Amino acid sequence: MKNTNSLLVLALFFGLAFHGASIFFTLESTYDALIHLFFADHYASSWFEPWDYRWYTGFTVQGYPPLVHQSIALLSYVGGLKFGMFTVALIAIVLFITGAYRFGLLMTGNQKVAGYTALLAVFSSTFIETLHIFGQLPSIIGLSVLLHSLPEIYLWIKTGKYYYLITSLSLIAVTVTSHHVTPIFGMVFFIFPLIGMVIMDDSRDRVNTNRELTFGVFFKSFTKLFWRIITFGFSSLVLIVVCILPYWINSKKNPITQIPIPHGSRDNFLEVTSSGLVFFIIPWGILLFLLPYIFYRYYSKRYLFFGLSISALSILGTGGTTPIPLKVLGETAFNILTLDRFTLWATIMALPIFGEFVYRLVEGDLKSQLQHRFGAIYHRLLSTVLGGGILLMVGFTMTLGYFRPSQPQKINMLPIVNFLNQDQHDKWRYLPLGFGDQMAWLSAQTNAMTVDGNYHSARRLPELTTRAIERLENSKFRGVEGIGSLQQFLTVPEKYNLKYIFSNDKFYDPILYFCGWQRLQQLENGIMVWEKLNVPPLPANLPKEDVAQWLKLMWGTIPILTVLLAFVINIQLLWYRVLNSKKLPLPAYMKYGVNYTKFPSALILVNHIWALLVFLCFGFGIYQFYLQNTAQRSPQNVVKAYYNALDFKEFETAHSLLDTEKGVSIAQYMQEVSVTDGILSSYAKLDAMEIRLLHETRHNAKAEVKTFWVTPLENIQKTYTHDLVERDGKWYIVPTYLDSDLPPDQLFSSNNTTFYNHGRRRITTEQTHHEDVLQQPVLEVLSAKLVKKDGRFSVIGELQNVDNVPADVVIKATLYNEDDKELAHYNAKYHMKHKLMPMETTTFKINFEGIAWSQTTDTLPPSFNPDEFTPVELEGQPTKFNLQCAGNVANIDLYKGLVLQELKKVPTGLKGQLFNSGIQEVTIPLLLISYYNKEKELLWVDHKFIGDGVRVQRKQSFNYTLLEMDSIVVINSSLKNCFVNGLPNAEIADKLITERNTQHVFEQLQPFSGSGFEFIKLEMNSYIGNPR
Amino acid sequence: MKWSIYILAWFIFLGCKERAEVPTSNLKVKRQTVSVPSTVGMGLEFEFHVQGDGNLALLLDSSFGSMLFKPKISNDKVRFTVLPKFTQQAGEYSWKLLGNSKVLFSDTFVLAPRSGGTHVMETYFGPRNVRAGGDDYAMLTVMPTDDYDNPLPDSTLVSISQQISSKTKVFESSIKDGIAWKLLYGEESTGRMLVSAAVGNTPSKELTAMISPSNSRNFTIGFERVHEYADANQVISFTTSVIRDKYGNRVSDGTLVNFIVVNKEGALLKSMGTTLGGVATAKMLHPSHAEDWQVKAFITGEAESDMLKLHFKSAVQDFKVGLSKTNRKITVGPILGFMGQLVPEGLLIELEIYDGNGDFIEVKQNNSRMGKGSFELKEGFYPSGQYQIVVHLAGIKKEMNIKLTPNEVE
Repeated sequence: MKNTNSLLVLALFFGLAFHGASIFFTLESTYDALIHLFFADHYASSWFEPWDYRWYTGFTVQGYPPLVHQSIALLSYVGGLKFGMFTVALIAIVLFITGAYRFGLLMTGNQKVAGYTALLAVFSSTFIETLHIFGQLPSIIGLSVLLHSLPEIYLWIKTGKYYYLITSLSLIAVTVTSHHVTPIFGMVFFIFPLIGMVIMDDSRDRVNTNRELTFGVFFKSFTKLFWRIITFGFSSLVLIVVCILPYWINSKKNPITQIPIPHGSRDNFLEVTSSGLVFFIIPWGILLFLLPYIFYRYYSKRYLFFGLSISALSILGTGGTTPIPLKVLGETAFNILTLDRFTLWATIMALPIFGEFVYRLVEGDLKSQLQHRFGAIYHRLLSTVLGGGILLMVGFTMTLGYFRPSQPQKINMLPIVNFLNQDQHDKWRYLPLGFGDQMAWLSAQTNAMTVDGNYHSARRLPELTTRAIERLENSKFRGVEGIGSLQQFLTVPEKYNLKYIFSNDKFYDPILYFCGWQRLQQLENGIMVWEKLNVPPLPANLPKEDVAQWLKLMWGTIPILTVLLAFVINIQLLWYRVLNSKKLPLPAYMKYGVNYTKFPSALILVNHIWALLVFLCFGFGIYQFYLQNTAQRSPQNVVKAYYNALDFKEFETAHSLLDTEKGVSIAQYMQEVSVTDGILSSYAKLDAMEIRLLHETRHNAKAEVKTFWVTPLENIQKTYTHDLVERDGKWYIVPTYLDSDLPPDQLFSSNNTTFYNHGRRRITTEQTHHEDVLQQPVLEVLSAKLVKKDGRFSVIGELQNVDNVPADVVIKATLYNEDDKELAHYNAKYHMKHKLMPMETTTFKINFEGIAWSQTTDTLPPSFNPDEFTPVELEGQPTKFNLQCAGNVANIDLYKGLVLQELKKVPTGLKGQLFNSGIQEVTIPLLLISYYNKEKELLWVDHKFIGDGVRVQRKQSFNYTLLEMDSIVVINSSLKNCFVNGLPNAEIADKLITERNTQHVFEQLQPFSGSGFEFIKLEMNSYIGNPR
Repeated sequence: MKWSIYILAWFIFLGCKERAEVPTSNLKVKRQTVSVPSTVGMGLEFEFHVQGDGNLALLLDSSFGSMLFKPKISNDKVRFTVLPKFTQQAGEYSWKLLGNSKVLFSDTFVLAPRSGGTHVMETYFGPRNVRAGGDDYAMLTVMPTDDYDNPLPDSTLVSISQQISSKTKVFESSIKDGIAWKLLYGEESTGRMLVSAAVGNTPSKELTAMISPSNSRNFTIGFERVHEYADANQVISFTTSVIRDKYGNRVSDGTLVNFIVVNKEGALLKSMGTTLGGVATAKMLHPSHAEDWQVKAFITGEAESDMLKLHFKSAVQDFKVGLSKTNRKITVGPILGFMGQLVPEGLLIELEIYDGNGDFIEVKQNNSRMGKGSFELKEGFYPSGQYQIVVHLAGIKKEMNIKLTPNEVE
């Protein structure tokens, strides 16, 4: 047999052809690949400077080992960042296949088996998932190099030749600089068992048969090899510390304050089946059927330590399914580590044994056994089933991203990059929303900065670290913490110099509008740009945490040096082999191979039973899935299916579940759906539902459905009742009636004043010209007071635009204690109208929100609640407040077409209708309800979002439950510290409306008395989803 | 060791250098002509008569910095020429003639900014918006400079022109400390104020401010409707008279007017309109039942309208309530309107349901369709028994007691 194994060549050929071609379609939509690309872009532009301003208001890249990023960066000088990424990915593929080959050879001492191992590695579902779905390039490279180092470590300990110590250490160094977790855990799970195996082999040399190998013999070998083990262990520890010393220093200096972010690998896989699929079924794949063989082999004497290791790895990989991982790792490690890596290592460790099994099945003793016992056809059938199973897993894993996309559609970044480069837009921070992991690719292409980021261990802003969210960008998937965190950024954007938002998900639009943002323009790629007025640009000098020069130098040079060194040392051997005609002695581990002569027949039986069991489990799982998800099998199922269809906007499916006898055609149904708009139908995500059958006969049922909707603004709970009917064994929903109101006019006209602001009239790159700067509209604070309700402090008041132009209003309140010490400040969120026409008034309320769950004692709420409010912790009793109001000329979102009609007081509160008299469809109406006492003084401001939109010339009824005002304490109601555009309010009040008629405000109050109040006022604000 | 000897030898060799000779001071210099202009940008000429040898140089100090000039020597005459580009800065200059590093002559002179010729005029005007009435003003600030950006001297006259509605006024202002300024008042009528400034023949660019209307005065309102019936379908519109300020200017476009309607029950309904050409229009839906409305419009804090009183007659006089055999289906209608026609689609029908003891259970709502509406009391919710129902429609109320019986077996 030739030295070059033909199976290895085949594996490399297939590996490069298959993975090499498909990475171009998968890698960019993986979770991690683009993050590494961003880091690479950082090194490409500033190699030695670890500080990057572009994410999280600045962070250090010393929080992640740099080798892979720096390699991509180096290659990017040749052909761009993506060229670098794909080249590194190709190198990773080659390293992994050859690594698996060498690992196989080391373990089995049989080149054929090693060849099979390499071939199976190419098609192992765990590798495919890690590369094509997760995109964890550093992890793959780290692991592959670790696999390469194993034979060298073996040889060092076995033979004691210093050459092998040097080669193994050089490879360990590369592993360390590419991924920090791999060498640390690799030490425990790969190298310790390997050392055990070496000692075992050494002991085996002392005795004649395996039986004579006792603990005494083993101990003797251990003492003999002890110093080699210690030398290796100590030097690799030094390498782990020194090679990425800046990383350790940074970890010590900036300990991860991030509270745990939920990760699917920590779920109970039986409860959360999707996590079970991704983190258990897919990585194990076909290996699940062969577990008895794998464990049988790994628990043989030579592999005993590997047996222990793989058992530990498989159990740790089960996440929250069993309580063991939590107990073994402890609370902290369990919540920081992603446990999928244990499964990855377990499956990689199983590869040589899998290779051995396939070898024995294809051309070894298992083949002859099977043929002998069950006949040739059964053997062929079994091989075909195994082969088919492997192919099925490959196909399934590769297409997972296609059928269940984990990322939004690929976004063309060029228009956004151009926008940021234009007109000094990069002087402010931006925030992408709904971009998925592609936000990293956007950041890599621009110098502009964002408050968000995609490497959460590096976060510093407490607004982010105290919440279990991955990114602000996809905060809607993270419930209360997500939207809560996002709302903080949207309400006080001045704090972060955040001016532009790129929205790729209209889910967030309402919260943007109600926080006072306005649409700027839609880019060519369909991304909507939102902007906020009155946000100062970034200061010229931004703070950064500097590190010592020598650390920067270490970080910039050591990783690449380790690669060069490892290359020189290890490749030299290859050349030596090629150029030297003398036959080299076989490596020491080659002589411990087993002769595959007699496959244990009991094992065949056990493995058959096991495989059958696994099949049965799968079958049961699929049957359960069928029972729960067949739409029309039971009344509950049809209701569930109907609401799921509505949630995913699959109206055709929803229509197919409606009772045909009532005769709603699909055309009619689509027509009805197309005219409904509002927060529930357009901006809500169904979070949960409870279905209760009120009444059930054989063919009829009545179901009460309590639905819980997540919206960007609030959590909405709404109960519906449905009549259900069974026809021919299938259940249907009886359609409910639709409002038959007809507007009076087919065509009508509307006259309105519209405004246009040129921005800069002169096309220049200079600062906006003096003459083009618009005067700030003048506002007047009519009343303002600091009140306390239910233990919380709020600043409420009323404000008027007294200028002749429409104004965009930002109100910021600061609380002080008796000693004039500042306690807290915050902006008005949606308790105000942010856009005011000339002479329009608005009431406002400013709540002082703290950063949620900053105290570790606070327990995390288990479910979603976006309007969850965390009052700020005040250091003292606030007694004074300062109000800063700023007006800027507004020219959009000035719709005033809503009319308040048919208002009535009912026992529960208020009932009324909103009528839309204008020509824009109001998607989300907001009612601001203010309460006044007998003296007509403002007491409190409340709000209500109305669930359904108001179409043109139509009405929408609403109900509002009045609050109790008995507990209100007015602490301070002085206008002394109120400022408008930086000027004292009193001066403005004297100048513009000299003879103010104060009765006007009073005359517009509703005389509705309730507990603690005598008057109320209703104001309307309207969000228009699709302005015309 | 060998190398260090070499290096040492080189140092010694390099160190042996001849000392530069200092000229003997037998120098005699006589001042001949010093031509100093009065304004900037002209250049300077210095001429001296020299006897003996020596190094001569002219040191010129100005606010720009210090400059050293070398002479041109012809026979016994030494001439220093300072080019115009070195004297562009207005202000004090001092010069020194240095001979063999000693000051031989020195003097100071002042260069004034250049008057006449072209100037550059920096102007600032604001606020860009003044209220009508003649007591609100904007300020024009002028900073005229000469070609070399030197501020013009104090007391230089600047003429400032202001044009409002085709009438031009010219004011004069004089520069002090480089700046001239003028408060420019608006007039009683709205419009555009154009201003400019000039120094001598040099004009500034045109600057502009808007004169916007002052506070609005009280106004009147009117209304327009198709008919006087409360059919909950037609739209009534309210219009203001042209709203003006006390000088007769129409209020600026977009001014918000609140229309407050007080209904029979004392509740306040609200519509809004923004002005266009001084007129604001607001719309409201007709009520669903007979109503008396009192309408008043406000520009909060500034102005209000007169009170408008309106009456709506009920569009529906009466209607029938039909019951099915089991009393479980309740049909309302046909509902007829004021001309005996079927009422428009969408009239709200409410059904209040009470149990036998008169305890409230729920309210069901429906809309009229083809003049009718119906409700179904299903067995799942309403077990057979005695109930009391109340139908509300267009402000009319109908009560009845019904007994629900079971449906036939399916």
